[in-house]
Amino acid sequence: MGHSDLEGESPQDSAITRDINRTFPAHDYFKDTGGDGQDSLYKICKAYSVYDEEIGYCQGQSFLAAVLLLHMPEEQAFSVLVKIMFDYGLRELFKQNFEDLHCKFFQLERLMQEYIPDLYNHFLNISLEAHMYASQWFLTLFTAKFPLYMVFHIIDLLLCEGISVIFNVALALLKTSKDDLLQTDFEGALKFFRVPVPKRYRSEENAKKLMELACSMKISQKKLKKFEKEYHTMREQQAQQEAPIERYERENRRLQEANMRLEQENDDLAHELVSSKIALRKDLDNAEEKADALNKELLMTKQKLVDSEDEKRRLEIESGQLKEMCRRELDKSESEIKKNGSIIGEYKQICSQLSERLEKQQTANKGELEKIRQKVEGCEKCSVLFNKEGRLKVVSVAKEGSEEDTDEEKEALKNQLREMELELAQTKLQLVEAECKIQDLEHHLGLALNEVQAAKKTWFNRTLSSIKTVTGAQGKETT
Amino acid sequence: MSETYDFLFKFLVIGSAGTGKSCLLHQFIENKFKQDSNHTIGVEFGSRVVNVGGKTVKLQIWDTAGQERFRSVTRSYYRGAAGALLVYDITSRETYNALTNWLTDARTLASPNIVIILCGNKKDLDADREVTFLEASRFAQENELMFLETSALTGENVEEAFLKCARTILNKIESGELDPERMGSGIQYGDASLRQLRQPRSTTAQTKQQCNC
Repeated sequence: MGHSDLEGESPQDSAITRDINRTFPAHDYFKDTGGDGQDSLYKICKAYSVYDEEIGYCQGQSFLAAVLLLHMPEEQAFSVLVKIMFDYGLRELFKQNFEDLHCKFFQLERLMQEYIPDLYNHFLNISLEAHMYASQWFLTLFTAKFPLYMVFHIIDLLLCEGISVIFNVALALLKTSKDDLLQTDFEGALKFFRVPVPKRYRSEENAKKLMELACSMKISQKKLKKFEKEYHTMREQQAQQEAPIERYERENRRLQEANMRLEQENDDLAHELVSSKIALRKDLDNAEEKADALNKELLMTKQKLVDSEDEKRRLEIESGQLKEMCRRELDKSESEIKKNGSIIGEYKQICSQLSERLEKQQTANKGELEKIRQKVEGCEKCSVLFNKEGRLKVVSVAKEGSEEDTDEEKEALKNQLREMELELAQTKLQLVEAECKIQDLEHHLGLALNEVQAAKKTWFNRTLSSIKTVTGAQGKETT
Repeated sequence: MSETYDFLFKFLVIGSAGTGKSCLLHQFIENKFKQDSNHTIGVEFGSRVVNVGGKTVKLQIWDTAGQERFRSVTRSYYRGAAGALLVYDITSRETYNALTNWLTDARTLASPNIVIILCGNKKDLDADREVTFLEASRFAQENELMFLETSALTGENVEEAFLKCARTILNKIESGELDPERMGSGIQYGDASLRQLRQPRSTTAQTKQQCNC
């Protein structure tokens, strides 16, 4: 028995559970609610109801299943039950309003007519019909009421010989109890079937005799077929014989009944339809709402994507421009640096030229001064003026002393000196100017350098950050 | 059987599976609760003679299988039933909800004059009650049924249910509302005794009943 069988939802669950409690409740194996016996029995019945949807669970099955369970494990019992139901044809009895069961009753009565005519006539007199006592026999294959060892015999016989052994057993039962039954009236007979008949076979001896009798009875299939045919022609005749009005009334009643059930079913289905429609509509609405929201989101995302692409393009252009600008700026700065460098070089050259000239001038002056001193030394009057400090401290004294000779010379020297001093002052001035210029240029250079650096830095940062944002945005878009 | 009686009524016990129909019948006939009972397959039968309003009445009671599919088997027992016990289980709403179906069956398959008493069985299991007395009595009123809550376990109201039903039938016969003779043509009552009663009282030893079910 596959587990899938058990998982299917059987609508008859509660019915099965209820009947399991009432199947051999006095038997040790089946008496405990929730015990192994009941558990297995439930599983088999439920599995069968899922397995055979047309028949489903049918009261009576549980007795047969229980009998099988007393012999074999659950799975096998299920398989044998299926075999008996399908291959042995037990399920035919449950089909189409038990039509086949009624046919079997008819066959039994006809067999009685042949094998036990006196009992048949007696039952006819007391209006006892087979369905009143044999329903349980046939539907449970005698398993519900009789002692188990006898039941086992019957099932064995059935498995060997086929379902028609139910007639053998039924006839044997009737035959064995014939004498008692002949004494009873309608009620007495029914009561006799209920208690004394099963009771009789508590004696194994009696059970054995019964089985022997059952086996000894030869009931040909041909005969059963014949009775079956009879039954069907009888049914047809019955249908025809019925007064048309009665028939129509019956038909009408049946149809009304069917109609009522169908209407009920229709109502139920309509209700179900409406509720499922509502549910579906709700689902649909929800789904549409969701779809709308998703569409909106999609549109927004698309817009965002477009925006981002625009932004990206813009940023790319900007970054290109920036790069260009930076490159230009860099070029400019470099050329400026170069220019400044050359200016500095020029300036340095000028400076060195100037200092060279100054030196020359100084040496020239010194030479001249030396010449003068030598000349002064050569002159006695004037030598005093000079020697002490080498300066013309005592020019006034010397003036007096040398008088005319030196006067002219003095004048010339003085002029020369003045000229030289002038020249010196001019040179000094030039030097100061040059220094100023240097300072100015240095300041310019510093500024230029700063500018370059600043330009470099800001440009770099800007490009870097813009590139970063662009790549960042791109990264987002692509994901 | 040498019992004597004035009337013979055929009764039916119907209702969903597991409501305690067989136990009600057993309690009525044997006066005790049926422990360890198998579920009914097809039909079971029981009878008892009771005294109702000074008359002895024999009740022939058919106890039917509860599973719905057995209706086609039990249908033949509806015909000619004078009274019915319609049983549900007060601890199971499902069995209560099925009452409408059972009632429809009884009214269409049996005599339209069938006297039905609604029995809310398992009264002793009040803690598990799913159907209130009030609700069921309202249902009974709407459908012109008599109503009692019974317990096959304690026996409470079991006898009363059968007797009440029998008494109503008897009253209807006496008031002329039910004519057993006429009914006998189509839907039959337990009629042999009735016929006999109509004739000047003669032997009480009964001719065999003419059960035509």
